[in-house]
Amino acid sequence: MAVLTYREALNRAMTEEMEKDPNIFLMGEEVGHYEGAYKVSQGMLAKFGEKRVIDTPISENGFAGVGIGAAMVGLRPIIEFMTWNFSLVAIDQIINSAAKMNYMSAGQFPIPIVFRGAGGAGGRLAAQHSQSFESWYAHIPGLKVLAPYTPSDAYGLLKTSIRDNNPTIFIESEVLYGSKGEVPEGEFLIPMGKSDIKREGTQLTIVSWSRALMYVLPAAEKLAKEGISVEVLDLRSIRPLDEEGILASVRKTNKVLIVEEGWNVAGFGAQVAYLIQKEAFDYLDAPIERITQEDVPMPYAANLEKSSLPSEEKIIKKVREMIK
Amino acid sequence: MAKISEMTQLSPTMSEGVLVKWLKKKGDSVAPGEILAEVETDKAVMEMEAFDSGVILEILAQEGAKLPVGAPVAIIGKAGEDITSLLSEAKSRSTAISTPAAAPVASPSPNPAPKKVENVVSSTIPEPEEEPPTPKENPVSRGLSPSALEGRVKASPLAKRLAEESGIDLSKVRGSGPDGRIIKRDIENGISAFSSSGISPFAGEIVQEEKLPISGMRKTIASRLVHSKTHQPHFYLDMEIDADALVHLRENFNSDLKESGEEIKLSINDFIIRASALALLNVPEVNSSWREDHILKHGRVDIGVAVSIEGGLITPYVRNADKRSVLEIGRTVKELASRARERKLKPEEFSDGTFTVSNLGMFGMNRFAAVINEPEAAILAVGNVVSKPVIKNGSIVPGKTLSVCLSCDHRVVDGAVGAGWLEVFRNFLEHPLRLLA
Repeated sequence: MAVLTYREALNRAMTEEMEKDPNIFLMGEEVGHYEGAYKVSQGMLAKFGEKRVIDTPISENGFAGVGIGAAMVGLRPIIEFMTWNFSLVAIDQIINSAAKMNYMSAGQFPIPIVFRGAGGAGGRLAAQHSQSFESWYAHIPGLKVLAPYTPSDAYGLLKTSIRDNNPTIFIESEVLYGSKGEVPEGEFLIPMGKSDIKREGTQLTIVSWSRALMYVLPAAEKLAKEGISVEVLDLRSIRPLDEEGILASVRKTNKVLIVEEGWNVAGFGAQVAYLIQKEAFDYLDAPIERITQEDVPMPYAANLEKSSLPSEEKIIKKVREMIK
Repeated sequence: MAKISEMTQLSPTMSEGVLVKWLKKKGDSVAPGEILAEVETDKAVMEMEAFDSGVILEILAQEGAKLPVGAPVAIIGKAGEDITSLLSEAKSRSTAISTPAAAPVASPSPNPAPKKVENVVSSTIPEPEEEPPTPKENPVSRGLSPSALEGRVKASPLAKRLAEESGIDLSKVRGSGPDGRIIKRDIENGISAFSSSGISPFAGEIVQEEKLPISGMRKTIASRLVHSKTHQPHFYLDMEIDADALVHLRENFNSDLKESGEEIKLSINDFIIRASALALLNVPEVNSSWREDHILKHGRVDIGVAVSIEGGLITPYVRNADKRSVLEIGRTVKELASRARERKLKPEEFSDGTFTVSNLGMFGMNRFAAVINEPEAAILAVGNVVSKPVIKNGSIVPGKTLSVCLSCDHRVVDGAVGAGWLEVFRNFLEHPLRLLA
């Protein structure tokens, strides 16, 4: 089994799909000659040429719209936002065109497009460049939202997204691009709407996704040394949501902590909590708890950024309280 | 100007107290120094005084409530004064630790009180313009959990479902979860302890296990003895003493006292305290305390007498026992023990001694080893007087012996020193007239 970085896994997924289907192309700022702001598209310009790996001006609203138009006429664009913070400029295109076109055209115009890029906090990128938008996009019918944590999941889910005939919001994380993980040899797909148990446990379920798992998994490891058995469920797919996977774990452990990188108010964890209390109310032995980013714009100072985000310490403390 | 009266710190170690009984009621006038209420601290029931003069405008703490030091208990001011803002302030400051228990505080309640019950504060402190609350019925009397008394059972959804499936009445279950919530483990424990039908696989019913609350005294005993047993390197010295002369002297002494109309009857323990005091004068190393960076050799001889009281034990001290006669010691011990059982001892009467005697002879114990009462360096455990054959002048004759065990803190008392102390102690007891000198 090969060990790949997260960026290499994304690169492999796009390259394999583009080799198969000439209608797929990559478009965004710095994706071509610079080989990606985060070096995700390394070697792709050389391989596919300027018609399929297209550098754009700084104009998210423009190139997102161009991508949607291309999808309407049969192409399969992959649109890279340098970060999801910049997608705000294109949000009208994403929400009002990409998400609704298929519905409003009574199925005449499916939009097979992938919007991908770095989400969440990087490291000292401050308030405007350190935001988690999965709950924003998950709110919109017509969009699919994915947020994989491991290179293997990133590979399998990106290939699935590219093949899907609906617009997909594919959220990566700047701090994950260099993370390494085993990716099976040969082609494989991971279905949307399928969570993954990253660690088996019996006493409490932690539901998390994307970068937040960087804190959750080591915390679970430390808690295990104290004799506290935590199950870690990685959503991977925010919309569609693996409701049955979540509920099965909750029915097993009876306690739930949701850990997410984004803010608390109207964060996606609230939707997960709603689902659990509605469908597994009689299995709950404690209130559902959440750990999120503090309810402030992300500070620039390194120490404040750290204390604003979820952390191993916060998770361990909360789990101990819940297990008591 | 009206003021909030607070739970007073009545002993140096008191962090919380149970308001046992109000001696004043709403509308009563009070002056500084007047007794407002009786409060149970970790070791005794003490009187809490008023610091302000005026009228009690509101009682904020119910009898039986366990409150931290500084918690609001009453509002004292001029009659008719507006206390709306003080009520709000008291409400925001109050954090009752447990529900009132109507059972006498001194006796262990058959049912545990929850760690904390929601809305104790709001039920304790009335909203402005409301009637003062009436004390709640004793939960124990109806066999209901506190949450059930409040008209709702606080249980997790899972616990409710499991209880329903098992036919368990949740109002009879004590919650061990946050704020007394009944959670899965409480139901599982209930199921395992007592089948849902109440019929056990055995011939008779199995009594359901219960969790008993831990009183302040029990907590103190637990923390102090764990500390002593884990921090003081104990070793034990046993000795058997010929008690013939002592028993004989005591009988004569008591019959003389009776004839002279004295009501007091001396116990063997009174002589033992006197002998211990004189032995401590002879071997002052035992009358010392470990103080981390030095050893404090005490100048005084204050001997504690372990007294068993309901729910625990307490050690009042006979001060300057070396300077008191056996008769004085007897009177002092009797008076201290009687007040100990009534929980009327003051903190200074049961703290800061130099040596302790613990006697279980009256319970039929021949011998035992006691845990040192920190920071003392030793404790003497005394058994009962046993009639048995002994060898005297090469012949086996009927005799009376007394077994004692000296537990020593090895940091302060070495084996030879402890043995030396016991030797002196034995000499006094085997020649008891010397105790009357």
